[in-house]
Amino acid sequence: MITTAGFTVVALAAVVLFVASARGWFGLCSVGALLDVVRATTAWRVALLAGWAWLGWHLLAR
Amino acid sequence: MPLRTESLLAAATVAYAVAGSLTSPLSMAALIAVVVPVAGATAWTLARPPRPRPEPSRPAVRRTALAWAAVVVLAGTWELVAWLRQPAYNVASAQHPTISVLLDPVTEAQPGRLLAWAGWLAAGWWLVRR
Repeated sequence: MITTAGFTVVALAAVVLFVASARGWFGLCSVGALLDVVRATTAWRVALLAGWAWLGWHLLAR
Repeated sequence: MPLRTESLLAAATVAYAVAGSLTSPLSMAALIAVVVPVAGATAWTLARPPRPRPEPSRPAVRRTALAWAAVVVLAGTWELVAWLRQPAYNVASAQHPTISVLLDPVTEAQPGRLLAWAGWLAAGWWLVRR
């Protein structure tokens, strides 16, 4: 129960942060702008792909 | 990218998501269905250098990166705690479910499995676009 509640809190924090980023509150930039910066180098793009690959394997294949 | 090419890619992605969603979890078919787009995306990424983009202000990027890093670290820590509280590393616990256990009802049956496949493929496509 407490574990699920913890995940709910984290998910809510992510939603709040996403909205704050999208609206530029607290001097934040959008998630898209942040990811564009991260995607500017091949090394980071490969790192993001590795995370994406793990997610696919973990949630869809196992 | 021309609209026609994008439409064809979108149709192919949906078709692949349908095929992928028809595979059973924990099967070799599901594993191969995941590996194929991963291999394609990796080859595509390594073959094409990233396109330069206009950069937002450095302090805003730093603040945003730190905030999201905090959320990711918090989620990862909580996931690790849940996993360590399982009776064994490969035995799920109803009292302390990991994220994947919580998502099992969605990713194991239709239409959730199809939506999960489509979302995962769309995220991959977004990542490899320059």
